[in-house]
Amino acid sequence: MAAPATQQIKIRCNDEKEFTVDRDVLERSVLIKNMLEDVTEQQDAPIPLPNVSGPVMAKVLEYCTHHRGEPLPSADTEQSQDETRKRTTDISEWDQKFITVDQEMLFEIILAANYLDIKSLLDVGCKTVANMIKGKTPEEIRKLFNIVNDFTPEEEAQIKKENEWAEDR
Amino acid sequence: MWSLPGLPTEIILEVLTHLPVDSLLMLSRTSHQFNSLCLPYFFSRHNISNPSDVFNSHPAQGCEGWAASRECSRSIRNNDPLSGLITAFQIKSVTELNVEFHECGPKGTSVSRLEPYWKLLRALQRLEHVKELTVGFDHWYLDDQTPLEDELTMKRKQAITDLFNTCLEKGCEYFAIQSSALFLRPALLPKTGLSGFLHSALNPHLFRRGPQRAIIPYAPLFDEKEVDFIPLLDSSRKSSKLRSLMISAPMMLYPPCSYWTYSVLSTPNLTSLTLYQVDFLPLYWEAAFSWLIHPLKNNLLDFNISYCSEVPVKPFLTFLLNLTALTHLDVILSPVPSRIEDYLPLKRRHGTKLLRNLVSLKSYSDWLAILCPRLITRPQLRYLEVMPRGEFDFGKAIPSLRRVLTCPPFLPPNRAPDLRVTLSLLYCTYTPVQFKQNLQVYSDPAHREALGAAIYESVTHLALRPHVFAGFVDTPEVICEFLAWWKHLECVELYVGEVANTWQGTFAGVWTEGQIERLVKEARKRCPLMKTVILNGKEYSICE
Repeated sequence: MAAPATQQIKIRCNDEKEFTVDRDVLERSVLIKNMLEDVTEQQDAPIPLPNVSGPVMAKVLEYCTHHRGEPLPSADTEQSQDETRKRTTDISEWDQKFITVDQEMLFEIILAANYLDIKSLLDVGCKTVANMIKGKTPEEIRKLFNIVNDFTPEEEAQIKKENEWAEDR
Repeated sequence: MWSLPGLPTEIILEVLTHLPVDSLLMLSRTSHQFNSLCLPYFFSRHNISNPSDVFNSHPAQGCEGWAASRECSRSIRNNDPLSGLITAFQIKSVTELNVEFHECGPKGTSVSRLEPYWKLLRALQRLEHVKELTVGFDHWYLDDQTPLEDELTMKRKQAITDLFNTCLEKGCEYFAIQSSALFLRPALLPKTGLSGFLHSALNPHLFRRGPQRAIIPYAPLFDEKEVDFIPLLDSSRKSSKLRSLMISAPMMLYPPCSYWTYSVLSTPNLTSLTLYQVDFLPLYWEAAFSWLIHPLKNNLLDFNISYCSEVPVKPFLTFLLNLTALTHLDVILSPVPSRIEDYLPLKRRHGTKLLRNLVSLKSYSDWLAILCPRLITRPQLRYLEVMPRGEFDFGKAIPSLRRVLTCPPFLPPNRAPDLRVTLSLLYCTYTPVQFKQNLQVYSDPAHREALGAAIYESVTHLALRPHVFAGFVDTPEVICEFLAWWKHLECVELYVGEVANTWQGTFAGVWTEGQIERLVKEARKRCPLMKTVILNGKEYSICE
């Protein structure tokens, strides 16, 4: 069991930046885990990750290293946990600090987590975005995320009418 | 530059799962993209599945006064009746409650008059222990001079119906409205079997106290053939007996799209659905159609949509074509008559017309050509009525009408003989100006010829019940002109006159006896096969 834990894997990002990482750290990514399982013999060529840049990968690896050894969420438990997971936007202290980055990096991390299939990191990212949205008015949300208001005044009025049911003003 | 809208939809959806309802609502107001992404969440997570959610963020305050009261018969002044009511409803010892809303203000002002109903309706969602509820409204500003079909009255009627319904839903055994107001006039209540009951239920003299309590059995109400009010959305348990639903919601404060959509969804055995004067923007129509198609597609037998706001054609067609069990389809493509449109608060609120043509005539002819051949081949279809009406240029419209009418293969030769298809080509006159314009069109011989020919072709080409032509027309003069084209018919069915009152969907016959006589006489002269003329539902024999 010790052998795979110390095994070093090389990866190459889309900006040619290369990382050499412990296998168990990389296996936080379901994508890479599956890739490694498919490859039977040892290869020296780095695994290409065309959708991730070096700086983002460094962040992702920081996360994976911190969380190495934690059990991966299995497909079965995901279903039952779904309800409790939803609506809670609690993020652990370390994760919170980790994810305190500018918006561009945040979105990059989310995209990378999605691509690499790192469920827990994707969750952290999405929760962070959700937290940014919480408590804001539509106008504030638009400003924050560069959303263009493409409603006509009529549409805005009707949407407001629809929402009155839940808003209770 | 990164932005939230630029993220893949799957990720945005992931973000949405972490948002509470109020944030979803805010996000849904930012753009079309987020609106469409949020809607399903909104529907599934907001009060639809759990109505009490709505109130969670509003802890009741300021109502110490009633907490201890066993027979709570207090007035809630309308400064904050909602939170007060909610508290009252939560207190176990309060089993009897008397609420009085005092509305004051100048006569004839707006929608805000309905607020007490609305607040009460919301508060009722939290009704738990109260078994006897009496509500007093103080409509001093409504007197006998107020027109019967006054906008506010209509809404109020709707509101009361909803209140009543909700009370029953919530297990309230006694519900009374106390008011001197005019909505209790019988003429204002819905004209169904239910209404008789509702009327007596709402009548303050009959329904003060005592034995009347027994006449609120809930379920039997839904054994009525038709129910023209909206069951509350979380009523699935109760409304499984409901078969027929009419969403008639002119210019209203509520229910909004999500509300009525869920009214429909919560009536699992629905076989008949009528949408009448429902006013949504296209994006909500689209949402509604996509939400409704699944529960309705194998069950709905009868679908009627009329005088609604513009629907997006493609989702509408998809919806219609997916209704596989349909036996009756009735589509009236028309804007709300301008006279009625004047009533609409929407117009005032937005300063613009919100109600428009359901579809323009051109696209109408296009989609009719798609729809009709597909529907008509279905053996179970018994009734199809599609009517273009409105303020289009009639002269120009004739070519496209002809195209619709002659689109092959309109009717398979072995089609069930009991199918009744009505294609009404004439339209009503809503205003004197339009009336004059119509006359000009008719009096132009070229137009008349073309229109008459189109009708003739429709009747012969369709070869439906070849003895009947049904239509809505303006004047006896026009009808007489058309008689020449109906030589081969045994019967014409006509709805004539001005639209006096489209709230009821009825057409007041403004023809005089003399005019009717003239028509009968002309028919006798020009149509040797003609046996009957049906005018506004009344039969006139042509045979001497």
